[in-house]
Amino acid sequence: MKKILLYTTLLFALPFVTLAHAGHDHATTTEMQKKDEISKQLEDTINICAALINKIQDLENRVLQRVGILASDGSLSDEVQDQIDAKRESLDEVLVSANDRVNNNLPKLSDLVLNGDKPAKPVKNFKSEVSKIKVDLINSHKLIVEIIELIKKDMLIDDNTATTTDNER
Amino acid sequence: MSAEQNPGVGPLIGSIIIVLILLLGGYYSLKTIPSPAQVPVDNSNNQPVPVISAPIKPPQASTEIKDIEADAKDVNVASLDSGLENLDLLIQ
Repeated sequence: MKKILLYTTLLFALPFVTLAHAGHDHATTTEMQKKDEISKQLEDTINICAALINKIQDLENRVLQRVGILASDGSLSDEVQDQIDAKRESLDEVLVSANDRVNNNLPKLSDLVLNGDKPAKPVKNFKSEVSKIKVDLINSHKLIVEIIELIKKDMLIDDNTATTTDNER
Repeated sequence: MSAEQNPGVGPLIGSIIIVLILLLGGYYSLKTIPSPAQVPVDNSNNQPVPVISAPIKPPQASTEIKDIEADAKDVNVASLDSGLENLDLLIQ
């Protein structure tokens, strides 16, 4: 009779073990799905940063090409040329800093978010780094706009001078 | 008929009680484990931000100042914020 009791107990304990296992599997699946979503979001954020930096670099290259054309034509004053050079140096420094943050710091912080036990702190650090990149991007964009304004202003002065000269004639 | 007269009755009653307790426990466990449909997933806010929107026209390589100026105006640094907001929602 004791054997019957033992077997009965074991038989009915089996569903419990199955249930516990199923619950654990479900929790693991949910956790993995969440981790995948976080991983994708981190990757997307890094890609957005990289795309914005590429866009700024493209603008810088095009502006500098225009500056080169104007300088070779002799239609850019030395004063403006010097101002543009100074801004270009600042722009390069900012872009190097932003590139370094995106290529080195963000992937490391992203790994910490995904592999750490408590993701809250690494996420805070990741967000802080993204904020610094954002500041770099805003500053570099501002420098690009300033260079464009310098060129426009110089060209406008040249145009006005030419117009005045034409009128005087 | 007492238990002393039939020694198999006591363990049988004990088994039935254990089985009932196990069944109740199993039912409780089933109720407490959330089904996949019950997991709160806010798809409206957690949609990842598209990395780069597909270009409608080929990228301009013009070095004309007005073209560069127009492209500079299109640079949207604020797109980073929505990505960070999504990250916050996922971590919570």
